[in-house]
Amino acid sequence: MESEIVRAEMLLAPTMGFKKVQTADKYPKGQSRGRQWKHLRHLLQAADASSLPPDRPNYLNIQSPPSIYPPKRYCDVTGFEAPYVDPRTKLRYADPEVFRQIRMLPEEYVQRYLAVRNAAVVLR
Amino acid sequence: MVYRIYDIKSETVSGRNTPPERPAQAYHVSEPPYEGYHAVEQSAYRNTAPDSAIVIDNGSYNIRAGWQSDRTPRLSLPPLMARYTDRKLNRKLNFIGSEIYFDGTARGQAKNLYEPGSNIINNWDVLEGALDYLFIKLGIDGSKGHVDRPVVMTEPLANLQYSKRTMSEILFELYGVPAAAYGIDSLFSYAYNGGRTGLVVSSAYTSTHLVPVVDSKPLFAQATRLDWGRSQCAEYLNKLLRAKYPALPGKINDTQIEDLVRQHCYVSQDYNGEMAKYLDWTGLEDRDVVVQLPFTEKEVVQKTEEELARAAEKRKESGRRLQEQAAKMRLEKLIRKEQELEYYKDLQQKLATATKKDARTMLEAEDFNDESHLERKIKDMERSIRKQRNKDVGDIDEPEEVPTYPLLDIPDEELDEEGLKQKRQQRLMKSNHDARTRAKAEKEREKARVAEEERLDNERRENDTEGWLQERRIARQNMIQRIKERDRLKADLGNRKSLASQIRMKNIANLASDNPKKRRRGGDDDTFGADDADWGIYRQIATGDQSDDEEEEDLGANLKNIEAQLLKYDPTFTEQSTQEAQQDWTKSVLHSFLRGPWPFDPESQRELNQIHLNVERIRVPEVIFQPGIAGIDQAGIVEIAEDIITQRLSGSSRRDEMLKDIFLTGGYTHFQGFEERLRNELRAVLPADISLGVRKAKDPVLDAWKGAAQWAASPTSRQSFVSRAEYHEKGADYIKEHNLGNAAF
Repeated sequence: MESEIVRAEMLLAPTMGFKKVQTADKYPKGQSRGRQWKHLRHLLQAADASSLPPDRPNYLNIQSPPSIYPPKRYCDVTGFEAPYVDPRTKLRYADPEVFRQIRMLPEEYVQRYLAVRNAAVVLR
Repeated sequence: MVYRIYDIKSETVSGRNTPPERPAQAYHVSEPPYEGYHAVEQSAYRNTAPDSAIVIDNGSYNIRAGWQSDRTPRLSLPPLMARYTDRKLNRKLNFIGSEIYFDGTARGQAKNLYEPGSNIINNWDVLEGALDYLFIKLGIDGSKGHVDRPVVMTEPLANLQYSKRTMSEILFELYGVPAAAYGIDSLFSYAYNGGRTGLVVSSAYTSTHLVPVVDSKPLFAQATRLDWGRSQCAEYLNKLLRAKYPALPGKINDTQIEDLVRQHCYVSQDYNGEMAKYLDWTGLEDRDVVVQLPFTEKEVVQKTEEELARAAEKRKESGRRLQEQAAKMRLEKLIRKEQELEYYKDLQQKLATATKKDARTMLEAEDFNDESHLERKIKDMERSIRKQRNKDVGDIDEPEEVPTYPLLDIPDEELDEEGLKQKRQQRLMKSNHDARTRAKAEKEREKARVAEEERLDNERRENDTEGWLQERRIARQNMIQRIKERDRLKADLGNRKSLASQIRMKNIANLASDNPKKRRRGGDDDTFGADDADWGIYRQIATGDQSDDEEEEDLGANLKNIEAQLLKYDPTFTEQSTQEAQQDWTKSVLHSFLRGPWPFDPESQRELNQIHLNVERIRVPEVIFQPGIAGIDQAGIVEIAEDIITQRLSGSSRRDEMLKDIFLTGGYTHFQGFEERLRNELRAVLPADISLGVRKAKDPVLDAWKGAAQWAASPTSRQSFVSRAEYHEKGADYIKEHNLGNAAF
């Protein structure tokens, strides 16, 4: 394995001539790196949308708004157009067979189905 | 998930669906390959002019890079990096792009350049690793101490200021590039395909953008992003499959899911219509894709014929022994009961002649309240004996002649010890024999009664067929109703909040309490058990298998019986109408959904490790048209386009011109049917007199890079590059606007 790794140059080169700062210098041995980059959520908070001019496009305001049409409802199991909702599990269904099935589902699986359309109960 | 597994009967019944042939070859999931060593090519670096730019399309699916003079990108790699110290080799290893598929450890350690599900970079170490790799492979040897070529790079529409600044810092301060320029991938692709005025619809790996362009100038104020792309499709399919097959033994990883999305999903032209018919039996074998995951078949030990026969014989023998024992026990119990009954009857006779006071003492001695109590007891016992006699009590064909018991008539005093013993035995044998004869007689009577009933029934049928049939039909309905109720009760007991459960809890609490509350009117003295029905409470609170009392009738068998009669005599009642046929798996939507049009054998490891893609094939790519079905609270692609065209640009004089060129680019447009669906839906929402043109990029995936290379090579582009001197003078936020890039703030 080693020979192949060496041949394929998958060893981290200690220095690269075209770089001003070498990776090894950036992260000296023995020092923990931690996480130094912000997640998108934090970046967006830091960008502070309210301070940006509203007439200029930015990452937040080009996001498409919610639909103005009523959403179609589909069976959570089979994907068929679903006229019914089970009041107990809150799952949508279109077929009595599916209804019998969802009534037998353990809570965990019900939540799994709900999570598919971001409707699951999230405990924090 | 709990689903019913239906028996597969071999007989062909009219109305049943016949399963088609199994597909000859199931689809096997595969890993993306390790592509092997990519050689360094220095010739281009040496032979091009010093201002020839390196072009990098920084995509979230693949990073593509090459020289501006190249026709296609030289390098293409997924934005992944794994870097770790191998303890065995004691060396630091570094895997970039598809190199991470080299082995399992590298794969597991791989980090993505992008924030998952977005087009924003969040791991700058990976970016650095990827750029190192690109520059090395493009032949930059570092003899100059920095990267001595300009760089053109793509970035997302309305990129975050922070990302832009960090990228510039890295390019100028870490690599020391002489100049750099940024542009938007979809606009590069549009320009490469000769577009000047139109609506660019770019649906890529992590996001979808719509940008109107007039005279090669993008109208950013109208640009819109939908956070849905192929990576979200994969995630969605993953969630769907985990809900569909919760017990799937194997695991499908993200790249395999992506492969399934790419290979098998397509955009439906009529989503609701197609979905409604998707699981129909006809042609389901063509719509259903069987995906075989790796599995190991359980070893089945093959037994020889002889061994099997021996085992069967052994089983039969022990079964017979058990039956014999049970019959003996039943017989003994029956005899005991008969003796008890005799005793009580005797008591009853004695009571008739005794004085009132004596009678009272006698009754109290036997724990009876009064005479009617005794009568009831006798009646109950008679009933139970009659019932028991009908059961098997081991009446083998006995010798015809009645055995004699000579010792019984001799008084005890005349017998010696041996004789007494024999007498006891004979008495036992006699009672055994008598019990059997009585049981036999009872059985005969029962048989006669049943025969008589049948005769009457037949008579009724012949005389009044319609009435008889009607009676049967009602009986059948009742039976089905009772089965349903039983099932419902069972299901309800599983739910702690149901009424059935609550009542049960109350009953248990009441039974356990020291001074149980009386719900019925009556005295305070505890008379529990005085009425036989009182014991029924224990049947009510028992759940599970214990509740299957011997008294409970076999509802299923009864239903079958009635259906058999109906089948025989009712011309309108066919095989199809039987309950069993209606529960046939070939008619089950859920079976089709989970297992396609083929029978399912839960014992087979092969079939347990299969997943069936059917409705998912259209359900997954549909989300871009209806984001709501995946819980995304955004407008769909057609609604966005409609809004841009009919609302936000309604006053524009160039609107009609724009509609003649709706330009599709990005990997999502590779889905079969995407272009057609978009065209049809736009046609439907736009005024009829407007002419509409929809076209797809020549290469929706690579044209962004090609456009960027073309732009970099054009003489006019250089004035939009920011030089290193300008960077140092004006700061990291400084950019120069151009038609294919983001606007400055």
